[in-house]
Amino acid sequence: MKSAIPTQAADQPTVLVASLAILGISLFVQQSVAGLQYLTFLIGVGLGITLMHAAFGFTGSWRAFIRERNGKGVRAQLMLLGLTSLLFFPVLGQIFPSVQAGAALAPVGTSVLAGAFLFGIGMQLGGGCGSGTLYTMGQGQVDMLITLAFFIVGATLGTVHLHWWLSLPGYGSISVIAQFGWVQALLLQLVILAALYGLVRLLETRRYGNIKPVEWQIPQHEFTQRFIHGQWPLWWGVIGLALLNLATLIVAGHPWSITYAFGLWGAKIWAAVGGDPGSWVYWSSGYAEQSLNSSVLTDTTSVMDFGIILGSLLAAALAGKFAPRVKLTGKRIFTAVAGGLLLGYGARLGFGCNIGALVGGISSGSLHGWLWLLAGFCGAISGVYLRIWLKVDRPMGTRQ
Amino acid sequence: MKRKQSRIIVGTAIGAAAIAVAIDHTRQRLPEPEKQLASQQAVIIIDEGEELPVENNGDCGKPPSPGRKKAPCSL
Repeated sequence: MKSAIPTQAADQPTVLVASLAILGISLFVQQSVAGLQYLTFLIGVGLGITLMHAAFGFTGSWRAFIRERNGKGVRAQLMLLGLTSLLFFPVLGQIFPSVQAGAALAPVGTSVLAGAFLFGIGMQLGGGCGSGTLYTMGQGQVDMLITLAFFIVGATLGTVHLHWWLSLPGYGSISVIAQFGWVQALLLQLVILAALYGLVRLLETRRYGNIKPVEWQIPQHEFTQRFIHGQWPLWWGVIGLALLNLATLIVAGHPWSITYAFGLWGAKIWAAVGGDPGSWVYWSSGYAEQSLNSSVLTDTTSVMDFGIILGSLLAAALAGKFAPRVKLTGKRIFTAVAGGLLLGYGARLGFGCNIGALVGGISSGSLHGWLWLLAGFCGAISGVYLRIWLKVDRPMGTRQ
Repeated sequence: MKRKQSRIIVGTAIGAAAIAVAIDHTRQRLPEPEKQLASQQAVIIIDEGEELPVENNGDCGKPPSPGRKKAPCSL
């Protein structure tokens, strides 16, 4: 295994600012918002650090697999799904009666199919998924600011149209835990994930003759340096994300989600400039109405997203990678705008992004998560070809 | 775009977002304050050995969690 001691020194002023911001916000939320909201913020910080230090992303991994059959990142994601399922299913199967946690269940239908497909295209154009957009923006990538801004616009538009999409053909929510019981459902799920892992491994081996391992070991003498400054082995990312997702399930009462907040922020901005999002069906009842009319700091997803941005900012500063040079061309601005809109609209229709719907849905035993994976991956294939058509990437068969 | 420019743009964006959150937090109410107020105002005297009233038997006296679903009382 090659040594990966960071070559750049930590960006100390940014480390200090990020640390103070994290401390200050934690204390403020702890004082001013009821419940364990400050803990969800700190979990978000942990997620941001893990995503950044392990460079755990979906967009680049999917593209690498589609273009080059490099399946290392996809295999890590399948491990994440397996490990999170192992942690979630017993909790959701109520073996701990004192833990009241809700699964990420959503209807299986046209809305998820179309939404995940659009999201898959959007992630390839925008350069990030739900988690990726947040942590690369926290890393200080200016182009991802544009993607995030239009992600918010798209998500807000999605809340305008969601009720129409839900009137299209579909089924209700289907939980395999409710259907089979958590033990049988878990076994079934692990068998399917293992089969997918085997398929990815087979395709990769056919291309290269062997597979790139998902690394987990580092030399002993590098441990402290790598733990603080990165870069973490991918396995650390898998374990960290799974454990923090479990912490979210226990503390917040639902799996980790990201994109609900984007629609909320957009609706709040629309209200601030004189609009009336409260008259839209989506924001007119239930938790959506309550969150629209409450402080944004009372919304768990928003607070976790703030944590992810600040956590990745801190990690990037520790690694000396904050605010990298970016070539902001007209084409990049176009793909960021188009990608962001598709990401946001798709996430709302698909009941979440790669985190809320894919990881959260599958790990909760919800069938919509599997449909999201299928449609999202098909969308990503289309997005990869769109990038070639737009001359962002070279044609298939040539190296990037 | 140079690193310094990136830092300024991202710093400005995060600063603007922080101001927006502060304005929103100041203008919007916290969740269901009337419920919290009601529970603070209610004084229930229970004699030693007497059973608790039904509404206080579980953990539901806690303020509602801001979670997406209806807040589970045990959180």
